Amino acid sequence: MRRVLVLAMAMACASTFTCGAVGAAYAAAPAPVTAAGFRLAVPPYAFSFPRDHASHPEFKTEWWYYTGHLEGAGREYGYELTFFRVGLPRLREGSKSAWAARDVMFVHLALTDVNGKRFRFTDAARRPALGVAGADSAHYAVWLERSFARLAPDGRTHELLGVAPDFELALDLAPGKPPIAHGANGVSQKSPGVGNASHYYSLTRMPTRGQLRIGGDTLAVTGESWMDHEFGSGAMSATHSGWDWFSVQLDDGRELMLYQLRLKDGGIEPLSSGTIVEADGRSRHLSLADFRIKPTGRWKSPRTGADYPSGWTVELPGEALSLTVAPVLADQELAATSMGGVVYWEGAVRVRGTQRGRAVTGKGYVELTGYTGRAPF
Amino acid sequence: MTITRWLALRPLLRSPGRTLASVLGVALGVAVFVAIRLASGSALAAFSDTVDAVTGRSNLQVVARGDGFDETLYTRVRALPGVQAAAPVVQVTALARPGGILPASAPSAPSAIPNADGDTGPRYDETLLVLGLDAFVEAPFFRMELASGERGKGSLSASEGEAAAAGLRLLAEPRTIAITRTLATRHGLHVGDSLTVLASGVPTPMSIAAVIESEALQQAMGGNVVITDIATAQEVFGREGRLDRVDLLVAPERRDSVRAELGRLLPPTAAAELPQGRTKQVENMVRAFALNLTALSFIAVFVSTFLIFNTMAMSVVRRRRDIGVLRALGMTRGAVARLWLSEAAAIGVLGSALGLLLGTLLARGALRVVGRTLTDLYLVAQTDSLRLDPFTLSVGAGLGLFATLGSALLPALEAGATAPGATLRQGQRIESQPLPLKALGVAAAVSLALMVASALWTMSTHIAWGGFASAFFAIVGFSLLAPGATLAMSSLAAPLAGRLGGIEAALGARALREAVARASTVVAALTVAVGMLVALHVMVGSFRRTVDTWITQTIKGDLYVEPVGHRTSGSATSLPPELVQGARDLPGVAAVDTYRGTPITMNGLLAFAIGIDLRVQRDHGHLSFTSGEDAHTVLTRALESGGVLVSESFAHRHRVKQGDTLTLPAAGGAARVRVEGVLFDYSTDAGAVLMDAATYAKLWNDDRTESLALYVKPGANADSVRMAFVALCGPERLMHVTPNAGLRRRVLAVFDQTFQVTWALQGIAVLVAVLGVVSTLTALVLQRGREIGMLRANGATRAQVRRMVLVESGLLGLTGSLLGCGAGAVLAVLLVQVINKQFFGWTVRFQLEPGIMLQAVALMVVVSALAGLFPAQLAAGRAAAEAMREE
Repeated sequence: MRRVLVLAMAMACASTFTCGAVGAAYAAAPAPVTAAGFRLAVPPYAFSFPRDHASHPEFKTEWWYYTGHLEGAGREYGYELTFFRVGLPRLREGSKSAWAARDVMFVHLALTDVNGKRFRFTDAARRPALGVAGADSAHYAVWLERSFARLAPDGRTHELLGVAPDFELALDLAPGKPPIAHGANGVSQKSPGVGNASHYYSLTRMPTRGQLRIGGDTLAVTGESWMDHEFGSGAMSATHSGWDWFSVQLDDGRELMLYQLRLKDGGIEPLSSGTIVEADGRSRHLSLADFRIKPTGRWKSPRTGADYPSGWTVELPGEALSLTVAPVLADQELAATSMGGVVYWEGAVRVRGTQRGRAVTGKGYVELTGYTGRAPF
Repeated sequence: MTITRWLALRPLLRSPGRTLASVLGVALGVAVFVAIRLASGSALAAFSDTVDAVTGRSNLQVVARGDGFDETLYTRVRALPGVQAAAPVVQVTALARPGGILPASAPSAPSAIPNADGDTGPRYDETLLVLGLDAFVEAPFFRMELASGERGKGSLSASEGEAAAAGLRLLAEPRTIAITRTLATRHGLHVGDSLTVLASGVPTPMSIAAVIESEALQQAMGGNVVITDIATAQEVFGREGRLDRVDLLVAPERRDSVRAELGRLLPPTAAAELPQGRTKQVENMVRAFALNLTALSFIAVFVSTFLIFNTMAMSVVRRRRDIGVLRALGMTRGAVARLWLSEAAAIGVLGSALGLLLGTLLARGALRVVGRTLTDLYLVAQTDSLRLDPFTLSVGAGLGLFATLGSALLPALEAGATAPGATLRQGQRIESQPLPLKALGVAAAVSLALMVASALWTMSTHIAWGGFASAFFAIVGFSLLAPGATLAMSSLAAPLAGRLGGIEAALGARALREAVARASTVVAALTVAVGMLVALHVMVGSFRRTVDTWITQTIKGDLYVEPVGHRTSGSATSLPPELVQGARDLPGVAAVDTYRGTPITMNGLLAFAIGIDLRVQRDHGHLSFTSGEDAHTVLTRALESGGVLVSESFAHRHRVKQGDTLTLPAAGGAARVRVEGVLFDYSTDAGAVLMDAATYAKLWNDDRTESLALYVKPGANADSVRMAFVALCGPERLMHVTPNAGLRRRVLAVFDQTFQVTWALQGIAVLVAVLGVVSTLTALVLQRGREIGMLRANGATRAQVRRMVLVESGLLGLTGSLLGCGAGAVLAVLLVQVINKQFFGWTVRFQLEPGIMLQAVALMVVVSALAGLFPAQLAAGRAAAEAMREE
């Protein structure tokens, strides 16, 4: 779910002048659209692959998100490589300028050096002009400057390249399990109201191999990744203040995705939900009643002053699953510099716990937004 | 105060009039120098600041050599190894006014259409530099620091959010801009207000989305900077597909290698330059312009040195007895010389100080004039802020002091050389030493010979400063002739004066001979001043007549059409093809010539490539060629061969002649073309290459039209065609539609404006000379108090004494101005045939103007006679006995 915020954030600016409310004109049409002409995420939606890996420019916001845990030369790393596409209000239709922006592309790239206790991060934004950045709507390929994510000619492998000033990550990701659609009927509802939702699927376990170039060294790395792809046109609800999102890959072959949208009044959005994926690839939707997330510690960013929860217990009574989630490093905060400078915490975590008394372990990623004390948009 | 200092200062105080004249002389010279340097320096600094601010932190640039380059070059440039950041830039200068589009008022009535050249519509008074940028790659260049408006420097986080919001609005919404605080304040504009820019004559309202916070940009172009999204800039100004610059941030140690790599990669329409490169180019242009003016300011200083020399020398003579006493009291030669030098220093200090003050005041006015000329000639940003450059001020002050001390050196040494005893005798003659006439004559001859030599040298080597050297030798040579001329005048005039004006006139004429040493410095000063006056008049007059004849003969279109703002926006202007066709179809129109041009760089020099309809020119125009060939022949040849015509100044600068082959840096690749003719053209000193519109369209991949010339059918009424065309344009496009006569007037108006400063300067030189005449004559007459007393004692009436002095001073003026006319004629030849030719390569038909010479002579005689009036009155009023006692 994650980047909705980022996107909403970027777009909030735009909405002050034209987007207006997502006053949906859906009454008239089979495919409801926003005032600015973007298609809303409404049920039913049937995903089709590999087409749905590619870009959906008819939706306002879209992101492709990869996180993973890598090992090489005896060292452990966590990484995040995310591409965002944010559709701009369609005010430049008919322009003959190649620079006339219909979308803005963002890339965020983070590397957590678990042994070295160091977090590296870079971000950039570009308009898709003259091939500098872009998202292909026919065949999956998104790119910004030299960084990219795309589907290899074999139609299965995801090829990633993340370029930062001080490191480069080149990875091949194989789909270990088929894509999992979150929510119901192909729609992940975020708040009440038609279209306040997204189409959201994940590749929850992707065996990964590749190279990490850092500090003059090139390391061969292997590990496992998680891919999220989400697109929709809904606005962030005014009652939300941010969210906490969890992805967990358990060593018994199962995966877990949970998110809770925090309300400004201190409560949790009832529509918050999750998905559990069995080792054989079958998945079940989890509603808020199915899980409980409790922070066990806090970390205050010296950089931004944001006060984040740090460490959690996660209970899934229905699964008899009880987990503790611990960051591998307290400071995994991304203070983005490009266009709006969104600030969030996104970090590698280690998971351990019990299921029906049996010990379980795993790895995961947690995303925390809306903790900076100022309005996130 | 020591006795010696008192001795030095006392004489200054005793004759305040003369001291004042000397001080004023120095002050004027210094003032003119300082004013010109400050004004051109400020104009240049403003330009260079603008370039710096607009460049941001870039340390290497890919710059269009003309009307932009293909934007796909951007992707190749940014991919070069060593390039850390690359920012594409679309840059257009455009006219604008605050506010949005006014409600259309009765657009059907042609008189209400603001198209007429009288400009009945709202005025577009602001010249804006519009920067089209890509916000996403601007961070390293620090140009897009935006704020959403009223708030000052709020908390960092808030302003970051604001900047992002403003940046996004510029990105997403067409026709949105960010303006500087300076511009916002000047017009009381806020975020949400509009600013209307002229894009190819079409008033285009732009909505203000943000305020530019960057401090550097507040000052650039006097704050007239507008930032917009690169897409907006392309859309509004019809520049899709084109970039004007790519600003690069390159690892410093790899700059040279990146530059070399770019050299291989770039097409002829683009070049890799260091950011200082552009400033250098304009600096060179401005320097050539300022050089002429500086040379003129030196004339003023030169004239005033004569006067200081004169004042000092006379002071030595007058106080010879004091010197004798001082020497007898044991003062050394050196001390006496120093005494005089310190007197000169006092004048120098006072004069320089006054000059700096005056110069700074003058500079404000000069800046307006110089700035306007630079804007017209070189499209340099206009500025109002005067920079008091300490270097210029020191040089000005130094110049004043140096000139004063230098010119006082000889008199001071003469004072020091006075024998202690000799001067104690009564009745010492005024003149101590006879003038070394022979030596002066030889020196004059040598100087004039050097003048000729350096003129010939510069004509063969084309080295411009030779022309100035030549002019300098002319001035020196003629100055040296002054004593001889004064004596000759005295000898010639005495008998004549005696016959016409009686004994007193003869005495007056003869007095000139008596005081030749002093009189001749005044004559020399007058010679220089009148010489410059005459020379400039002849030069400018010849030039103006040449240009006038050229316009009348060759500019034959009946109506000239260009969008308002064309002169500001240049090649970023284009007319819709249907308008061009519409003009052709208008009843009464015989033919329509189209114009498209772009600046190009050849051999490192600016020039213009221009596409016109050669067929229309051949059938309706009257271009005139240096070969003397008939235009029809030349143009037919050019049409058949696809060759080009070059302007005379282009041929001169690039040393090409008819029949040569040129390699043009065209957008479609370097193109070899044949020069089919060299045409007279005075529209630009940069030089122009003209070709048929079709050839231009092919070479530059550009078939757009910037402006038109309409030829009206015989018998058709140009005025009704004009009305019809204005109606065709409609109210949404503002056009200048200028009849032939109007164009001619405008060209000449620009011409005259260019020489405004010149007139002001020579006026000052004449003023300095007149001051000199007054002060010298006063001194001369006062010195002859005893002689006049004797005349009075012998029965001369007051009227006779007065007449005598008037004749003397009138003759002084006559001598100086006659010699000046000679000097002026020679200088004019140098200016027209040597200096102008080397600088601009223009053929100017030289024509002497006896009228201005007569006027100058009459003026100087009258002024000198009037200047003599006061001392004449003084002399006549003195009692005989008192006058005799004096000596």
